[in-house]
Amino acid sequence: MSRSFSVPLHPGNDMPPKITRETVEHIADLAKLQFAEEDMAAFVRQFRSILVYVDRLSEIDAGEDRVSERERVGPEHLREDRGEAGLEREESLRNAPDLEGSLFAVPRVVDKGDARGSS
Amino acid sequence: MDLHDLSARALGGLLERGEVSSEESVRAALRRMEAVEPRIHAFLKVTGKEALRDARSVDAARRRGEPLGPLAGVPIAVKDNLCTRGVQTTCGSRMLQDFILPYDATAVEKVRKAHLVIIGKTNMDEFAMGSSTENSAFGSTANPWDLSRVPGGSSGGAAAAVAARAVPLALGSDTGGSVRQPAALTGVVGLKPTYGRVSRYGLVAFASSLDQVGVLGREVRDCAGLCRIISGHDPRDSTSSRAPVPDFEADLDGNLTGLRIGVPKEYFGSALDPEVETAVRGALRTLEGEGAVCQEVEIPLLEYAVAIYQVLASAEASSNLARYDGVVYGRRAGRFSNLEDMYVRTRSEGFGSEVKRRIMLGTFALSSGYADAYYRQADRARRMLERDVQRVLERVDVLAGPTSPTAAFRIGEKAEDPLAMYLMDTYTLPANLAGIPALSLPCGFTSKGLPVGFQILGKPFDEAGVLRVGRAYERASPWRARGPSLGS
Amino acid sequence: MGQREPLGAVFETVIGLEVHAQLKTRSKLFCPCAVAFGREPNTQVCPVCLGLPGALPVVNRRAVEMAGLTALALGAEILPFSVFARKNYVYPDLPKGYQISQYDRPFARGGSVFLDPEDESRAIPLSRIHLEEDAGKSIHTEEGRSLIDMNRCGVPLVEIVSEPKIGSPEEAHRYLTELRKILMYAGVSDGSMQEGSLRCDANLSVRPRGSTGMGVRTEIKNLNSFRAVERGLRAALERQAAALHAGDTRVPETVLWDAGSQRLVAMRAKESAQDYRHFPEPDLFPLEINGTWVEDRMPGIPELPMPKVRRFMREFHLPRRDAEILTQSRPLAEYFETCARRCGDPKTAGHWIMTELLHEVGEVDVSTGNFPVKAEDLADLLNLIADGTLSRRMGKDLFSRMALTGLPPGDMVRSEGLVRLTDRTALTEAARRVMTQCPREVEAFRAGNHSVFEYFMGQVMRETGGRADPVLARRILRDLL
Repeated sequence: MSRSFSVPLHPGNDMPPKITRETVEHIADLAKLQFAEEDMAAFVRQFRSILVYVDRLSEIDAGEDRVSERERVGPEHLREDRGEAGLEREESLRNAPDLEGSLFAVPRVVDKGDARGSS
Repeated sequence: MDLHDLSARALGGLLERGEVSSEESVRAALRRMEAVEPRIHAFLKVTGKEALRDARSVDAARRRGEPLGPLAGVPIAVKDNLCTRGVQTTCGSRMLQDFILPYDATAVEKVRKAHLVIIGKTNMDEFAMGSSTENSAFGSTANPWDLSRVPGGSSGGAAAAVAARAVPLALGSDTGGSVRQPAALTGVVGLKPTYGRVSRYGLVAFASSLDQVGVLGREVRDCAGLCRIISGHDPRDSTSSRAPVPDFEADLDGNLTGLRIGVPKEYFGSALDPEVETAVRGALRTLEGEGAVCQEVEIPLLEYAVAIYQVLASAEASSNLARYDGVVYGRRAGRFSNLEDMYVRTRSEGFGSEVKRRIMLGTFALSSGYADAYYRQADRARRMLERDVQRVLERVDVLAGPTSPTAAFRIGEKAEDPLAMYLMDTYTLPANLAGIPALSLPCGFTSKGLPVGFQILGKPFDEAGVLRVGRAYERASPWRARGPSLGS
Repeated sequence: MGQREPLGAVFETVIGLEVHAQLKTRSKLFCPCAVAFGREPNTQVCPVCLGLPGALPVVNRRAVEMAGLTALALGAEILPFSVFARKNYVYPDLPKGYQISQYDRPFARGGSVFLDPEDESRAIPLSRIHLEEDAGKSIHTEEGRSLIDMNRCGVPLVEIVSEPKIGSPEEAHRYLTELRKILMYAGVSDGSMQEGSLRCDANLSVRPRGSTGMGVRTEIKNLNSFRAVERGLRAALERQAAALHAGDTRVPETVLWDAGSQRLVAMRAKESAQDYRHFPEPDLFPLEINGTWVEDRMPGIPELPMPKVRRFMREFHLPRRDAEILTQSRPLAEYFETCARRCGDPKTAGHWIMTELLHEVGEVDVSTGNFPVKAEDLADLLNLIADGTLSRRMGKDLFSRMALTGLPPGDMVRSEGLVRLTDRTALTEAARRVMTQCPREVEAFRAGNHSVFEYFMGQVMRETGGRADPVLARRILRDLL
């Protein structure tokens, strides 16, 4: 089910799109990244110039999505359902930055229910 | 001739005949590596102890009369984005510094099974994003031909290690040219197999529909042999092909009479350095001398290849790199005030600026409101380009042209201009977009003594054909004999 | 169509449900890790489900088969090919930073859930059915940390989305009950909401009657039981209705059902404004399902609950309520049918099963089919009662003991000599003995106190160890007295 919530971006027919600091902050929020204040201006500039370049894509009359033309695989080539042992617990926890017992620990999530379904 | 100057095949022959031991070969490689490393910094990790242990067990197996392959006991270097059990796999990133994985990549497993000896992990652009190896979090690698210049990227360390003769063979990865472009800039041979030919299991993902494990060596035959070892269907990689793997060396010395070479007009535009063009056209003439027939072809969508690639590769990368969040593994920020802060600091501190740039571009390209104009448009255009390339390959046997628009540039020269850097891959990334095999091999030098490479692209799963053309050129040209002076 | 709960003449309630069911496969959807519950945390994991660098997904064939069975059982159309897609978002229990699901091209479309065995028009149409992987489990501590166990990460889920055509919280309850039954009948799910193998999210809106589309919707998450579904929806309905009546503008929102306080709790707006940036999963090729594959799977679909209810009502003349109870699980329905056919008396068989089997004989888990008494044995017991060999009371008693021993009635009757006493001579003797032992009561009876007769009956029963045939005993006693 499509659930496009409104985002503070306004794509229109004017390509390349207007990239403001707000745009960059929104994308950074989705990507979980941040930029130091002193780097931000340079980044926005580079970002814009890259978008200007890739904007040439809109010149291509590329037709429809070609999902139906892609190579497909039938069920016979899928994996047999055999439950196997995985990693040793030691191995799975080995590179963990923070553990409590054998659980991966992070700062507490804000909402108990989550963004996508029951826990 | 020193042991480290030998080709893998020649060394393998000596090993087979018992004229030299694997331990000696590995020691020679380690000595050579120690001699050149301070100047080129090709390696992020040298596994000397493990290598000697492995070499000794190969020697013991040989003494026991066990049947071993033609490259058994030969030293090899592995790019640091291929998982190696028990040994670091940093991908050139602070994010995975000190990161030890519990498994080997399939390609690494096969190399081990063929008894090659891994002597270390090589430097690379962070997460394979770059064309110069300057984006490594652990310092750049120098081109053995001119230490003030880049070796290319992202498999710059692997290419430099081979060019400097520390190892005769290396495993790299090629998403937009990351094996072929450094091969061209360092005067070695680099092969990107057909997409799906080699398993991607254990190759840390950058752009899943473009990534392939590639091989680097100083001779075409060596690359053919290594490619065969790592090729084959892997049930752990759903995109790996069930196509049978032929012996790529079977007809390697076959002649080229009547071979039709398509030369894309779009590869010889204004961006191409004139000295590079001269060397490449010279190579095409040499091939004609061997019986091939060259004809100009037009693939107009090639003009858009960089744009298509930048959007698609960044989009896939933005998703593939979302897992680096400091929860299950990897680096986590030292200080943070809450979960959101932890994520943002971990990633912002752990990733370098090129990686961040591509994640941002990719996230943008997939974001609501823009996905159709960017991601989906790029995908549609890619399918069209793929079809156009396939169509041309029905009329000719291979395509050929330059690998890189320029020879090696100076360290720092393009660091401030990401777009200029992206354009270094103009001629290599079409093979990734179309999923076809491509080989780069040395075809001359510039007036400054810098290597120039040219490329042969083939039909899907026709590595053998591409290698045969490369071998024919290699036979007819003098470049193999020259090695870098390493600034001495 | 669902039946709408009227909110006056002007508005109507529109509800859609999204149900996630864990598939009963041995391994996870994209990796060979065993699916097992209650294990030590982070021991059922591998590079793939942990999202380690370089790991790649490989689809589980059985999960696809089960998705096929699900689609067929729901009358949905399996698409000739479907595409796995990444749903990108950040959450600690999602190690890759994306979930592999299906978006533009799901596994199947359409289908429906019938709600009423006597009215085929009462059905809720489905929008789609698709495969996706589960996420890990988090525990949130008081000390301000969240602790994650990835054992569940990667377990196969089938997501079933209804059209927004459910008309009331009660109807939603009914829908969920029937859907759960179908999934269990098809053998793809164990249907446990408590254990989290069946989960439900709901969308509700109150819209002007006659309009189409969802209207201003409230999305409700964390509905972890049937009761929560109904109550959560009712609360959301009241909330929207109140806002309407007060003239407040409603906004789309996502809320959680808090079972502890039995209230809806609003989620922060930021968290619900997600941009999932769906795109086709590049590590997997589109999945192709051809007609032959589908045909081959049809025999795997058993008779489904609704048709079975109708057939039981028709063939065995059961009232609807009984038919629904007896079909609550496939093993129970098969048990009933075996028993009913063998003893030839469905009504008694049904009654006996509903009372004695399900309630009297300890804990019976109807979903497993482990019944303490075999269906054939129960039928034989019922026959023994019907032909007079055993009294009803003896039969019940024997049944309890059959449940303990697992032996068929014939064996037990023989070993305990439980055959009903119909021998005139023996009964007469027993009666005479009783009368001899109770002279005062005999006097009382002959004096006109007829209530004492039951006392004599009781004594004769005792005397014969409960085996006396009551009808015959009565006659003999009367004659003697």
